[in-house]
Amino acid sequence: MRPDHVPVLNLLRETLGFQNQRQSVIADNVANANTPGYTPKDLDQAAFHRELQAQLRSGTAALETARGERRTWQTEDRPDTETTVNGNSVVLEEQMIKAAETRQSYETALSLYQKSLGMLRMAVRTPGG
Amino acid sequence: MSHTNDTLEIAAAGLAAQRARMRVISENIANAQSVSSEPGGDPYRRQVPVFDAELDKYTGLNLVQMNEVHEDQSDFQLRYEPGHPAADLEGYVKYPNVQTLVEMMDMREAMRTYEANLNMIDNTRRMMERTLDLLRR
Repeated sequence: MRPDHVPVLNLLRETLGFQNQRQSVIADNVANANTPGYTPKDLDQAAFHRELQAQLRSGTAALETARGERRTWQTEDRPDTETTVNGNSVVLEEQMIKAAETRQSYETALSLYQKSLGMLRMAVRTPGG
Repeated sequence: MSHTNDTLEIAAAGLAAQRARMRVISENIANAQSVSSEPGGDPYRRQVPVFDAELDKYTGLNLVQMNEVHEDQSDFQLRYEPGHPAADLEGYVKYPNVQTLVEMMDMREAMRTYEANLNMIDNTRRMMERTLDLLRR
């Protein structure tokens, strides 16, 4: 049995991948904070959560996609609250908040992953050993 | 893992772009009083950096880049200084169209964006470190 056959670990790994990609998208927005006409992008979190729910219910849907190539999520335009005269709609503060949020979710998933692994380890230990 | 490296790559390009912008700004400030060496000639023209997304062929990412520097086409400032070697026939000297205040504003913005990019690198680095912590136990 491989670790990705455990549904919990699988879900957490998906979450890690998603947050990692989101961080990359946010870095792109921050780097383009002064590019004329640039619209910030983001990943569709609602779609991701829906997918997770579906996987939770079916239990096995993720296995095919999780193995093999890296999973990438669709990006979409998500302008911030202000647009400057040159058509750039990146607001650094909002992007920073998003970055912190992403890191937090990532670390939460990571801690849960660690805990789950610990529980597995505890389960395979011989009693009294 | 690859996304993590992408993030660092993108943020590093952002840092480089802002640093290049700082260079242009400092050039503008340094030349704020540079006039022509001949009578009636044009002085230094303000440079405006323009950012653009450039596809990096190696990684396939759209990295930000300061690909060209435009000249600011606004009018020069005229000052009446008949004794100046660069004065034209009426005694006016053309001074550069650089406004130090505007340059200062630009500089603050460049600094802020630079810091934001640094922040992203820091964030990503910490995420990586936490992931590597998985190996330790």
